[in-house]
Amino acid sequence: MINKSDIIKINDYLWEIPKGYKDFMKVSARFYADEVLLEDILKDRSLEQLINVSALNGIYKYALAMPDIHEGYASPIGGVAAIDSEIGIIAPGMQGYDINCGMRLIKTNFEENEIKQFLKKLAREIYEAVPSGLGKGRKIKLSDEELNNILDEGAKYLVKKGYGNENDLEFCESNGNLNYADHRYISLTAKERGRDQIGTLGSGNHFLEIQKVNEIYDEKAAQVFGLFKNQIVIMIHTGSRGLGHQVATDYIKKFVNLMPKYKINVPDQEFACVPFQSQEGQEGFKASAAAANYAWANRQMITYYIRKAIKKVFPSLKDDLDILYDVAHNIIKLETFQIDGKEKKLLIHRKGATRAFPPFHPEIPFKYQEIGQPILIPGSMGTASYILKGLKEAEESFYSVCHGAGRTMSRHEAMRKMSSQTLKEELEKKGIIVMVNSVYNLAEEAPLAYKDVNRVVEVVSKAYLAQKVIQLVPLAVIKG
Amino acid sequence: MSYQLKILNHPADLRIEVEASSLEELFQGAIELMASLLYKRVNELVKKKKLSLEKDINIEANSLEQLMVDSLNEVLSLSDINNAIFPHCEINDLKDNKLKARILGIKVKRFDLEIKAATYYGLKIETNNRQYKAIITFDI
Repeated sequence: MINKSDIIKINDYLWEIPKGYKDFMKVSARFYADEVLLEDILKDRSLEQLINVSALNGIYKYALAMPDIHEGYASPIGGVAAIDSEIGIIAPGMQGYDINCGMRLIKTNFEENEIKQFLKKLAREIYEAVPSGLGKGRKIKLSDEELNNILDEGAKYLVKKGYGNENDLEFCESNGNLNYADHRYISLTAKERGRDQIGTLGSGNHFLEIQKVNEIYDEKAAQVFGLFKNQIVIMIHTGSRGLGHQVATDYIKKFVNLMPKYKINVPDQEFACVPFQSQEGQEGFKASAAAANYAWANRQMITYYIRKAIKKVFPSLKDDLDILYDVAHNIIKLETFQIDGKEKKLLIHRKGATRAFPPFHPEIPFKYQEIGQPILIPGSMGTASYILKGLKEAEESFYSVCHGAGRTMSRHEAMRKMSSQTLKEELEKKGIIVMVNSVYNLAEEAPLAYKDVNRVVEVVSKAYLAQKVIQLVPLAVIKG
Repeated sequence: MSYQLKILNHPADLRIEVEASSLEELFQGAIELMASLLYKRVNELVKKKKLSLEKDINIEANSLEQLMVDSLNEVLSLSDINNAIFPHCEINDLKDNKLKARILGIKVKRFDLEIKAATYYGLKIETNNRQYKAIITFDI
């Protein structure tokens, strides 16, 4: 295990394990934390895993981790690897099995006091409209053609079919469509898994929450984002479901077998990788993009269901609800950086890290150009969530920030420490409506199993990676 | 058949240790125990209902460890596609990093746990005094 004495303090919020700490390190490993979070980080194997990230071929500058870092497999959760796209590798394990797991926030024009009496009904309607849990209530069975179109075009295809509007795409990372995706690189097994899971939430830490804007830190940014005090919003957290899991499984397996061909050694097989420019690397990249498209389509279809549910409760509502933004936190993408005065494309691998583009970045919507990208950071169940805005200083983290609070305790330990029924009662005592398929596993996601999201966000803010715009608090939690 | 399951500590994912008295039982145990992770009341279900789903799996790998992960992932895919658990496994052949097995399963309304995949992370298969042990980390 790594000791505190092995770590160099760069400043109050940034730490470094120097390149020479292990022979195989190609660059230093850096992570963002304050002293309190550092103590948590040292309790698990996340820093050993971050050191392993630093050994990847073509890694540029640093192996990085965000303040919600915790032990995963291969990379720690919260890990970021920027890989030189000319000479480096692509490693599916560096984005995880839930490809394009991400967040979307839907805005309403309601204030809390306008709909307080309807909240339970609204939560119930959303709960019934969006299939949640595992294997339950799958509504749509896609044909081969429909599925292939979703894989190639993502949310764009569903909007064309009437399940949303053009603005939904405008306010979505990559407009909900990575156009280099190619369904031909997706296995039949993956397609079979994805055939009836579009528009489903899944379980585990995935959720829907009805929230209200509790605090505003940046009036101007909040105004541009269309957010106001006590406003009701709906947060979606889900990803590419079984299809994405299978794509990751397929390519990790394929790349494990290919590493000898390319004479690649990794400290952990879960980092299985091939050169990005190789044929197999390009195929893996296109497959990963197709799974990412599936995830954006999934969140789009859930949005469609939510809009229908809201109109059922408020039939006089005329306009579609707007999306603030949709952003991934498990993804591999090519992004352009200025390095030594030249444009360079880096293959950014984010695993539990959120893209956070600054003002005037060409890839963020016109409306947000002067403010920066909205960054959606969920808290643990029953705690606050945040909307941040991107900053130019975050270039040092390859425009990446945290993706949530970050676990500190296993699900089993959380279940031992708190009963699910007690947690449900505690949430209800706070006035939070809880809609779950099964109360049994609820305590796995209890706040005591997570770091303090307020502290994590504070570190992000103090490290100048992003700035707080608003704080959200939950009114209703909907889970599988 | 005798095998044992132990849940090991992992802050985010699920790490298990399976122990058995032969390699065949180790693979059988890992596959059957995975059903009990996906669906907690598996014993009750099996008592009440017939295992009516039958699937054959044929896996080849470069190492025993890889064979274990690939086999578990194959069963996970079948579980997800069929909305089923597979609490019974018959190993037909296991040698030279090849596995042939038949798994018997039953449809369930919903799973209790979402296992995204079996991973290669920290994967170990050890043998000692005719006891076989595997440590497997699942992404959940």
